[in-house]
Amino acid sequence: MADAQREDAAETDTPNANDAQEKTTNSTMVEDSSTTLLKRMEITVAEAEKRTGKKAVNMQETYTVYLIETRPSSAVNEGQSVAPDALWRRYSEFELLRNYLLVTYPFIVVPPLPEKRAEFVWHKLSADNMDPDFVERRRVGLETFLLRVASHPVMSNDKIFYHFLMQERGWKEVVYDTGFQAKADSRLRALNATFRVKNPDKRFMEMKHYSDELQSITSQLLRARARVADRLYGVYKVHGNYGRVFSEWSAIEKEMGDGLQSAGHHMDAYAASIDDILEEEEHYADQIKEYLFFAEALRAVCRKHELSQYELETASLDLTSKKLQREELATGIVRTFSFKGMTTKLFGQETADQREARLKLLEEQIVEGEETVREKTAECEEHVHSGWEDMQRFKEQKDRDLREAFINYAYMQMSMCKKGIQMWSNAKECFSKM
Amino acid sequence: MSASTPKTLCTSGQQSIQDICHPLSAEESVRTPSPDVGNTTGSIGEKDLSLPNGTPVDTSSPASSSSLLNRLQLDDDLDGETRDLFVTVDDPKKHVSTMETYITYRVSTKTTRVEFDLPEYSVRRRYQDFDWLRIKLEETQPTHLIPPLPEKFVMKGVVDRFSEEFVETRRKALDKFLKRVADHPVLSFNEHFNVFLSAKDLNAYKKQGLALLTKMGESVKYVTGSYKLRGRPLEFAAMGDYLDVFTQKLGTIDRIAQRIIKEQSEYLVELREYGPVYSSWAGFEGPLQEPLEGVAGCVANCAGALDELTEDMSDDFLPVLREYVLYIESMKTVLKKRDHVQAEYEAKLEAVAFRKEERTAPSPVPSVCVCLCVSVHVQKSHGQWPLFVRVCVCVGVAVPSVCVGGCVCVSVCVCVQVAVPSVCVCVCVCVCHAECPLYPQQPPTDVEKCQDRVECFNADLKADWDRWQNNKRQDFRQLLTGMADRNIQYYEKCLAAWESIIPLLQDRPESTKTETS
Repeated sequence: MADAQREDAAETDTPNANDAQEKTTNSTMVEDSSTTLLKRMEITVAEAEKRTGKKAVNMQETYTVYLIETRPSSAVNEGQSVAPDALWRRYSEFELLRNYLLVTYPFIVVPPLPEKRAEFVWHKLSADNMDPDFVERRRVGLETFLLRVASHPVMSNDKIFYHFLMQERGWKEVVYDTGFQAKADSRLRALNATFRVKNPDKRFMEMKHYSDELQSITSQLLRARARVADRLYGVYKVHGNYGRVFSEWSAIEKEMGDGLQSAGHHMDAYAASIDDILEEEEHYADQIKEYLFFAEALRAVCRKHELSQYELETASLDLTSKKLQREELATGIVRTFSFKGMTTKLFGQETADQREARLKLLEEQIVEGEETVREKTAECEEHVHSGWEDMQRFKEQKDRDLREAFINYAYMQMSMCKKGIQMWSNAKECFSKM
Repeated sequence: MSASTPKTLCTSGQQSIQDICHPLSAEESVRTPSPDVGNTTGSIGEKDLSLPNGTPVDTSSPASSSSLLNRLQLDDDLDGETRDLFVTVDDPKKHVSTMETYITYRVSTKTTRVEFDLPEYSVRRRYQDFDWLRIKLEETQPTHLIPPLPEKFVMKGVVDRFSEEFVETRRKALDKFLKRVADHPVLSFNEHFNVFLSAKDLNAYKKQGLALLTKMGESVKYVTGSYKLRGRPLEFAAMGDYLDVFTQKLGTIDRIAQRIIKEQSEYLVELREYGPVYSSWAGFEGPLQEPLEGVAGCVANCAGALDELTEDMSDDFLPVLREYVLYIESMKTVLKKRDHVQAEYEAKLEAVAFRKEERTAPSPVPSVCVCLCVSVHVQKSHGQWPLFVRVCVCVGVAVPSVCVGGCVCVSVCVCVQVAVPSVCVCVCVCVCHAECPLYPQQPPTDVEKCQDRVECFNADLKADWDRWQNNKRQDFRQLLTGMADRNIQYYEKCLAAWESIIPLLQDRPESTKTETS
């Protein structure tokens, strides 16, 4: 479903994903068993425009804004021509949205945004963010992002997301009001910290390992493909030289002249054809790139699990140690070393009151601790459950999407071959008339 | 027969028309004198017909005789039905001796020509022998364009002289060389060519010709002679210009082709790294494993097809291109020689004009003079083998610079032959020097001989030029369509590869929905 709407409206040659499948998973997740947002609404990122504005420190900056259009599907289906609701958003706002989603739904593999800067470029491809081709591909990428979120059983119901689509002004304030920023910071810190978790869920560890491999292989693939594109470009362009020399040669020939001249034109056309071919191939590269970034999102879910598990383990350990201390205090038997014990030895026994106070404190802490453990356990279980489910959903989506990407790639290659055959056949005809 | 002893004709008086052979009936006998270049044996009365360096002129050339042969050659049909000489070069073999290692090629000949003792020959020749033949042809047929040989010297470190590709490329070039000679109406009758094709022991024959080695030095002198050319006829100047531009363009095409091969090789390198990435990926995927392997396999197939394309271009396209550059060099050399012959003639003309003023009494000039220039084209269905018989006879008093010290009486007989389907026109003109009854004949002067030489050369050259242009057109048509074909084949292979994996990619395994929760 997301796939079908992902490409431009004109290209609808992709096989339909199972809506039914979405529904069954959907019903276990959301109480409101109505369909995802995408069912009810058509979303497109229709255009891109350049704007200039003032940054905070009174500096001029040029940036691009993207037009988001939405329309209720019912209207479209009934063939009414309804004017869409529209608003403009820039890339940084998309980033903000995504960060919010990451923090709010830590157990979901959140779709990635198109890259901030052009990477994996081959020499002819511009690395300039203002380059129209780059902007166009980014527009497509942003649309894909929105469609993926809108078709997700959980995220599509998010109010902030809805506001993002519908309400231009004041959205940022609403987002900040959720207080997600604080969580974002701590999340970032935690994810980057190194810690040793003792009993992570095995499946999650396998997934994490898989995400690492996926990230590595897609990055390798993109680099290799860029190099191939570079070389292929060179091969085609050199043929353009034939065009020129045949033209010059035809000038001194009598009977051969016409054939040579026409053949030369076909060589020029051949050389020029590579531009479109490679531009189209960039879409394939973008599809692979999306999954390069998806791998990161997948990894983040696994890391989040590790974090939850670690916090749970820490909380449990803490609880256990506190209980032990209580026992010691109560029975007087010191099993473990404690600082208090040390000072007691050194400075004498504490009074009964003091002991009483300490015991009370401990009891409170234990109660708290138990509460914490309970919470953490629940959180962890919840995360494992939801996370695993979403990762399965992701896995199936990935298999579908990549398969489709490969099919499109194969069709692209076939189209390139057919063009080549056509052009060389034309040239051959000219040669045979020489 | 009359055609074989032209000089006899001249000295024995004017021959009546009836005695002159009818062109068609003369067919067989016409061929007899031709391979007899035999100038070392000094054929009768032809000592005068030699180039300044002493190498004799081949009198078998239809237009090269100032003694006004009638020569008819019915053209051979290109389909080979009436072609009577077939030559092939094949079967390369390596020979190892104590002194050296070398390759020999089998040269097979099939012919019905009477110049050959047997109808079939099969001999072994090495490159040296071809080189010898070419030198001999250049010496004995200086007015003709000799086809080029593949490069003689190869850098031993860089190219493997015994690799299959090298030997095959060379074989093709040698085969082409012999075929071009065999198709040439004059060169194919050359005695050395005959011996090359038929002799069991070529080395023994070569030794005979050692005496001519000394003449080599002179021929070099000849080419770089010191005569200055006054006015080059427009058509030859145009040829020179054409060749200059053509060489340039060929050079450019060669460079482009090489560049393409280089770019394709680098593209191939990247492809060979690109494909395996898909395979690696397949290693840790489940349902995507087959599609990924499929893509990897496809890329590998395309790489293989590209490899073949590049190799073919290297082996077949470039060598033929380069051979044409050599051909052009040969043509330029012949043009230069022609220039020199003309320059020599002009110089002599000047000298004589000088001297003429000093003469006491001008010789009486006949009142009957005819200037007759006839060119004859005999056209084949597939091209032209123009045949020139040019007769320039002294013009009367009005043009004293041309008519110098001699008088000639002319009798002209022109018979026009109605064409046989493959032959358009054949005209034979026979003109003979005859004793003028009024004025005693004087032997052709030096200047006249020079003039003759110039005209013969021009005629030969033009004939060869036209033939060469025609062959060039065919050769390049073949070469370029071949290039287009190879590229088409490459794309077809790639297309087939990608088409074949579409079903594989589209074939989805049953998704296991039950495991999602």
